[in-house]
Amino acid sequence: MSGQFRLVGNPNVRRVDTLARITGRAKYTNDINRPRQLWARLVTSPHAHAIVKSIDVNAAETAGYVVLTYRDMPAAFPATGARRDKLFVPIGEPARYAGQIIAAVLGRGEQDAEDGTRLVKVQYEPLPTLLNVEESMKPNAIKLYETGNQTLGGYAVETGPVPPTITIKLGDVEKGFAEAEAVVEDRYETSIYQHASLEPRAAVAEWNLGKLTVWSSNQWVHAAQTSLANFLNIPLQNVRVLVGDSGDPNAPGNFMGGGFGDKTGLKEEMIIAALGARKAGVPVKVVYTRKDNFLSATHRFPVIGYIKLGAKLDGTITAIQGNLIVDAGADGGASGSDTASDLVQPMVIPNISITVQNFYTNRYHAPGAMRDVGETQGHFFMNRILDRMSQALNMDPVDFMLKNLRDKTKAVDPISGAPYTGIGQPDALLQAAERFRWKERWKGWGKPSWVSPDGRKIRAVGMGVMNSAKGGFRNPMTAQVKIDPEGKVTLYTGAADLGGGQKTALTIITAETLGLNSLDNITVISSDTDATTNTGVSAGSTQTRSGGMGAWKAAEDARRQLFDVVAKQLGVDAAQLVTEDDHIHVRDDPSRGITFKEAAGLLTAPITGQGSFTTPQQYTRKDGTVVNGYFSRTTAASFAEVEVDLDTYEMRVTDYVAAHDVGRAIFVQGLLEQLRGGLTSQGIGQLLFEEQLVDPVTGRYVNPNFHDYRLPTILETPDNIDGIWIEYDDPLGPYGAKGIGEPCLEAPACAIPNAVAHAFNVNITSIPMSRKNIIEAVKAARTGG
Amino acid sequence: MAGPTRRVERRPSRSHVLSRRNFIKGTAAAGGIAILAVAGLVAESSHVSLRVPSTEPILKKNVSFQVNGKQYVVEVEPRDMLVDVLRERLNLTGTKRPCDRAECGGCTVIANGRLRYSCTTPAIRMDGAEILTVEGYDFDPVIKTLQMSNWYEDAAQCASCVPGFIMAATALLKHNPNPSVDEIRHGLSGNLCRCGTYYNQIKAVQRAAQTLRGG
Repeated sequence: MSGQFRLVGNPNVRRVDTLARITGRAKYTNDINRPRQLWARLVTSPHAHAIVKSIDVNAAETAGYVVLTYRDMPAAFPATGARRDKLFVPIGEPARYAGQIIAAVLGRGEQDAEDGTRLVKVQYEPLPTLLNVEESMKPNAIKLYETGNQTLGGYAVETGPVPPTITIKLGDVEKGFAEAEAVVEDRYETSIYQHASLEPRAAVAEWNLGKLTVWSSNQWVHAAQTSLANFLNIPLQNVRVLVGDSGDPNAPGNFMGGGFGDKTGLKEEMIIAALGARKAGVPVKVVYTRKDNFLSATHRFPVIGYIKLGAKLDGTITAIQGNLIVDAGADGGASGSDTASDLVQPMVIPNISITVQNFYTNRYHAPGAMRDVGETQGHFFMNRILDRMSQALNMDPVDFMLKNLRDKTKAVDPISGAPYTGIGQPDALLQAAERFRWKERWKGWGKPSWVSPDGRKIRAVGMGVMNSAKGGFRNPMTAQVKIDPEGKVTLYTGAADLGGGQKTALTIITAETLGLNSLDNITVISSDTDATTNTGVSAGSTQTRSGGMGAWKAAEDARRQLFDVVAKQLGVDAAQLVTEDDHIHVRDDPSRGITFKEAAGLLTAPITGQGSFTTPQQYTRKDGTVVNGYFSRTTAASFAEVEVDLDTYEMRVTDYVAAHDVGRAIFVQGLLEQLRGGLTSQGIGQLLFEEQLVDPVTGRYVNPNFHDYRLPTILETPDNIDGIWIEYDDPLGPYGAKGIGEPCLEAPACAIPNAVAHAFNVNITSIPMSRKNIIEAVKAARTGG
Repeated sequence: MAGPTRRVERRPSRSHVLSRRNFIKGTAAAGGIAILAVAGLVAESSHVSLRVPSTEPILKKNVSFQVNGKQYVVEVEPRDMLVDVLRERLNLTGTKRPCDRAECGGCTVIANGRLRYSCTTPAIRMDGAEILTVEGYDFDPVIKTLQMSNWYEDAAQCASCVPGFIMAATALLKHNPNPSVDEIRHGLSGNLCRCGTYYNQIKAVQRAAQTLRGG
């Protein structure tokens, strides 16, 4: 597939940090202990909506505990615009969700701190709760904020400025529906989902001579550093934020135990650790309990979508209308803009009208940028309505989608007119359909693909396509590559490796560019504000591109400097040199050259290549056309087979094939793991059974633990999971690559709901497709409702 | 969700045993205050009381056990769980504590040949026990083989769960050197992974089993 490269796209390249992680040598943030450290535990509101009347910390302080409350917050700090910085509810103000932090208690051990929390007495005056976003919209609803219940906009780390209402319009949607010969419409709804990274949120803070060091399990240490310095009003250079740290050269630090979007930038536990360490004069460690993670961290936001689609009898879509209502929780910060884009981009539709509105509720804390930020929701809506239209027209859904698909001949954002950088359609759809043997297995509407001999178990197939905002890039994109005279190479990157293989992908790019044969000689230093430069957030599936562009450019710069030295030694022009196979030599005469190690040995001092790349205003495509602006979308097609029990309504995914648009496969094992992981751990869970249940009266969580909030296990893992990579060299990616982490979770949401709908022959309008929801749908279908 | 060899003990309530403390107010923090005074950051530090660990052995007991062949003697309270003793006292942080209530399996160790969720195993019960953890790669060849096969099959992403998987698989292979796919699934069903490495966990156990059988 990638014959011209040795390491890029090589399926035998293995992860660089696994052995440190799985032998216990790696130090994750919550493995770090500092001398004389205290532990912090949280006092949180048990009420979803209640005025804090009083906070009595006397008993705790008399017993020797250090207690942090709103009184310990800086008197004034520059407004960051983000509501979630408003930690610790002051007396007289309302707690707006169950789990909101009121105080933190520092004790000499974790259990001691927990004992201390019992000595803090908080009095509440409960208020009526607002748990339904469609209630929150009504003019007579109780007001959660003086300014009303619609979020006023603001700024989310992930998505940038958040407008109060997003409106997307194209053509004339009235005219589009008038032309339509078939119209389908539905109300869709999604649930609250938990990120549930197995490493809880954790931070350790230590002050030393006025300098603050915070170890944090964090997807973006540089943003956290800036926010923390602003928050504490101290100079930026007096704050160091880093992820993990072993202090052991055999187990270099910067290990994260997952994040999935809940750990971007400055988070509550970092503020508690930093303020606590300053007040107590010793280091402070905060590790969220699992319950804290469920209640006080952030979650995937629920969206209600009213979607209407019109098409002609030949299958041509004429119009789409969508009203999306986002439950923004108590703190806001979501936008739903990516959800909206999933209705606009995948198909070529001449008439479009979409609105997105966000409203506060007491139902949960705040929308976290959970892996794919709104696109599981958007793809579910879009693929369900497309599937229903195929049924209404009695068309094979693959044919219907192919007829309307935005493919590489129509790869333009219909709203702005900006062309896509690249797109893998229709190849993804055609290749996945063939690998899945769709034409054989699809028997037509209402016909299962397999029936058990007793007739009580059936299998059905479903498919979908997606076109995602993820996998793009954000400025800045930076890195440094150092080559020592001993031949050792060090890559410095601000990118965090959450576990997704970012370090490995960037190491592959560095090694390939330097012409090395393996990754063994490269050390990665990542996610430390004292050692690395900002390369954006490890979220939005951007680091293969953003971190990768930085590493690519840095390695090219280091290579150029090394070539200058080698050219002098060989008495040739540096422009004639190439590096491959651990060897630097003259392009046309491989005998005139030296090994990479010998070349490094010519250096009198280490050299450092600087990598920096900024998104250009214009770029030149491979066909030579120059394009203004850029627009990155990542596409995929997915196919699934499910087996259902017609008596018990149990469901399982038995077969799954997805073709993903990757531009260029860099780290192939990592790609496969993203694909399998997106399906087996989160996709199947979110689609079939995961659901944060909230008591409809009190607003408290019913299931804040892994026993009742069920994650998929190895027992639900399908026997067959297959991935196809569509490669075409994206012009704005290292070696043509684009990101893939989130699309691998998005693709299951396209196919699996349709397969379940076909199996039970019902309409599916909400996820998770829990047995309760399926039974409701079957009852509705039988009573004609 | 428990596998065939899994034994999980209910934890005693943490709230019914409160430790007594001796407090030395305003003295222990002197060093910290001096440093902060230099930085000029905190005015109210002089009011802060810091406590030192109790020196009275109330309810405490010395327990002696082996971890990966090495002998340890630790003074523990009834409420100290094995996972916290391993991680905080012995600095063996390979054993993770993702949920702390016997639901995820990230803290799985082998004690006296049996799988245990160490987050719900009172350390005080471990007197005389022989414990295996994921750090035992030089002590137990099954652990090391599984780690190598796990790396080879790319069965770890963030790897917060993998120490638990390795130990569950170690116990499985010790009981059943040639497990079927269904037996592997069953043996690992008490361990949660949020990155979704399940598919490759199966392959890693198969590869390790083959290696250990000399295949």
